[in-house]
Amino acid sequence: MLFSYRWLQTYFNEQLPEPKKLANLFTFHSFEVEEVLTEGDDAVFEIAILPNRRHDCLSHRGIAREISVLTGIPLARDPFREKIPKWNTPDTLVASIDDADGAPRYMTALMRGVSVGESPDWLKERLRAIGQKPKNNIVDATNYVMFELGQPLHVFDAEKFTKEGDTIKIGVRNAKEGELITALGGDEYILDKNDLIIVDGVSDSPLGIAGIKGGTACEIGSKTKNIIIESANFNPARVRRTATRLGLRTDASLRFESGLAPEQAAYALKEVIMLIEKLTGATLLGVRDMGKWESAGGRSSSGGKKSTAIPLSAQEANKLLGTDMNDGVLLDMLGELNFSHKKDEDKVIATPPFERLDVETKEDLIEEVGRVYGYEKIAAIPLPGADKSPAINKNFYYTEKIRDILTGLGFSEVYTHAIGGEGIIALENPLAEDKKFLRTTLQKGLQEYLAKAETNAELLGLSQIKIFEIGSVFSQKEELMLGVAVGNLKVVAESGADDTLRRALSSLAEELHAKEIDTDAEGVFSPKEAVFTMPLADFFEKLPSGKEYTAYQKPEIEPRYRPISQFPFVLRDIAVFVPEGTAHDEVAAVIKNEAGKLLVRIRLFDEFKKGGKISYAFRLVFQSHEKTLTDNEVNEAMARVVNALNTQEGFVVR
Amino acid sequence: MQEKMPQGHLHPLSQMIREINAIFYDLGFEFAEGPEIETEHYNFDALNIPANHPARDMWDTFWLKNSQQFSIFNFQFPNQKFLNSQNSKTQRLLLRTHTSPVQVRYMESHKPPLRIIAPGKVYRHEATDATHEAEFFQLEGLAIDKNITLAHLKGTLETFFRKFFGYEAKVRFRPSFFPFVEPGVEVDVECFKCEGSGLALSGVEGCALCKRTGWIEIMGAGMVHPKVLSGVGIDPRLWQGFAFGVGIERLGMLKYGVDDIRLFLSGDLRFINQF
Repeated sequence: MLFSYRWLQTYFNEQLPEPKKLANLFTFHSFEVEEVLTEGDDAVFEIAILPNRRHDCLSHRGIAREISVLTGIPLARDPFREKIPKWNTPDTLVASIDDADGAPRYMTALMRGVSVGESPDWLKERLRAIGQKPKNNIVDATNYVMFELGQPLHVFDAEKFTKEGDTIKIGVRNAKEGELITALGGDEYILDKNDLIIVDGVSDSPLGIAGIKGGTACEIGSKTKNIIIESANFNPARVRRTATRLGLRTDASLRFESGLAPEQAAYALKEVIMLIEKLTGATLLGVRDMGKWESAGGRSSSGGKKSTAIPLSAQEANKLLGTDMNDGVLLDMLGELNFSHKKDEDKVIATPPFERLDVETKEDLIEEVGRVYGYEKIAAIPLPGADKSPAINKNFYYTEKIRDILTGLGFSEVYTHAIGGEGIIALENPLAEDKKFLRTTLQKGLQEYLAKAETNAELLGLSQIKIFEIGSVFSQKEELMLGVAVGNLKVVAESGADDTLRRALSSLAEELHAKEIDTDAEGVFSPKEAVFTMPLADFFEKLPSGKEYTAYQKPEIEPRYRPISQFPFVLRDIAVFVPEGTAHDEVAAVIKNEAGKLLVRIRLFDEFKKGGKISYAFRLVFQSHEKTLTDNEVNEAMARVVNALNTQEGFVVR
Repeated sequence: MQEKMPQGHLHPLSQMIREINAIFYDLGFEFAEGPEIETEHYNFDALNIPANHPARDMWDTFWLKNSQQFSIFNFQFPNQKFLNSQNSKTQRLLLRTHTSPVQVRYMESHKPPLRIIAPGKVYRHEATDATHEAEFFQLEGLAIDKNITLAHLKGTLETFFRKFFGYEAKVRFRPSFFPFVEPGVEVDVECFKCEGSGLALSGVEGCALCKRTGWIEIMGAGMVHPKVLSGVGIDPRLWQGFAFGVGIERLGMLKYGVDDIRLFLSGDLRFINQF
């Protein structure tokens, strides 16, 4: 949410620290400040309010309270500590709640003599500063109070109600299956029996989706003279369910979803009444306050009982935080937090204020004390030595052994995606139509990666691709599998893919002292391509438990990733006659030197002797990191290479 | 002509898991595992993340179609007490969004004191780009004993980062929220590129890796919530401890300078063979 520095300053008589300092305090003691922007002579904070503090901190008052806690500067005013007036009940307005669980509190105020018009400049500025668009003085007033106190409000045009004599009736009930409502803005919604709505108590027609959005039926217009203000408390799970189902998340629903303190409704109503009186000269006829929230013991944000007193000792706080606070420090922290507290022998009994629904347990209180105290005060202490060595995980032990054996045989390890286009188990909410299933085998993924490697073979400098994967597959149950694959780029008699794979599997079984692996079971075997998969659970079961993991060898120099080019590579061959005795490295060096950094790989692929000379033939791979190379660019490089070779004593390019 | 057989390459994810296991083994942590298809109970409810609660929004989930058709026996080591309860009848199956369920399962079947790491594959219903993947790997750690505090968490993480990244990395905590820990913290580690100074070796813009702050946000952590402990039959008045979770690809991007998370599952040997 966005917060205006100037708006926050109105809570204090003393000058606040400058915005950057304030941002820092928040980040280390409350919430992350994602950005601080300067808007004219104001600064605007974008603060990521933590999910468990939305109920009290999606508001300027809540953040002002945090500032007071963190800086020690007292609040000049706190709307949540002021007295609620003793309001009259209006004769001409009645309210009823059909579903007590859906609406723990429902307050309405009837005001007469409103004149709808433009808001004063100060109000428009405040709203604009936090990214809101001013509309008219009535709507703006309710918006202002929502961003001030975190309590969503709604206003109805009282004259648009169907009256019963002189009386306006407003009701809160569950919608009927299929009932329709047109929301402000014009969109129509189809409701179901779990959606809570506000209705005209006489005509029974829907006026708003409770806690989410008002309807057009009683919309405020330029001619509105009398209004009904709604300030309520709705069941968070119900609001969330309806908002999600309708795809309608609003500033109001976000707050109600978090579970607000029912007390807030009264304080917000007081503020908005005062504001509308000031802005329009309207008079308050009375307030109706309905709902079972008090007898239900109030509600906490987690749906549990309202928080009461929490006993805590400094020792208990230190025990969880690893700090070294004494009683005095604990009392200081509770004072700064503005939690009422009293000493009780070696403990302190702290009572969080009504709006702090998130502080219910000892641990919650310790977190409050800890963050205000400062996590930077916690020293880094190593864990005490363990009593005994940890147990060896058999699966990990053997999969690690398999990795070492296979990489020793020249296989590289891959991980393929588990979600793909084929399978038995489907996803309810896939990310794409062709990614709806969980894989039933590793084979397909390995074959795809063999094909991919083949296109990059020259770049890799390989003529045979050998890969393996250890991962889970999903059919009637989830199973850990080993998949091994070999792909030949040219079919060579003594090392066909099938032979290579069979020999590797044989070595694997031997080194693990396991029974010969049956390669007739699951796989594809041909001289060009061979893939084999095997479930590991049964295989490991027959093997003894591991005693000790292989000692870890940290590499001397950690590998550093070099970006791979996304652009196509170009191949060229070159053959040179050189005097006998010349090493191929020498020739290669000349080529590399002349070709420059566009040459990414050079490979000797042929050599023979003839008439006192040697012919070396090289395969050259050109690629750029910035673009697709043109034939001209490569030809130019080749021309330079040919030239450089020919100028060497005794070298002749063929 | 004959080509020498080159050594194959271990995938960087496996290399990191291997190193992580070695570091934590020395600190007394056991390697633990669990299924990738999980129940709502183990992935959410047991971690104090109830249904219809905004906290669920923190994890975008892949749900399995027709969950009720698959016997949950096939997919997990059943918690007998839970299976006999009413909730098991309405449990939905999902792809686990974190490896925290492994901690719950382990705690149900082992008495404290205990220390485990749980590296494993997780799934998030998120669009894929250079820093986000729907399928990735997470590492979680858990230590429960009589007197384990946030100070031990700081110390353990500093030891881990020192060995893993190879420099004296200081760690700092910022307040955060996760339903299964209280207090909850974000953990930042000192930037190794600029050694916490925020300055670049050359140029005036400052260190790009940590955006000139000198710190890198690296993981979430905290003290295990008493509700989670009592849920698995551990008395929170007697036992307490820390838990942490970090993305392994994220560690790899920092350790090796990899610039695109999608490379890890690309099967591209031009990437894998660099390690």
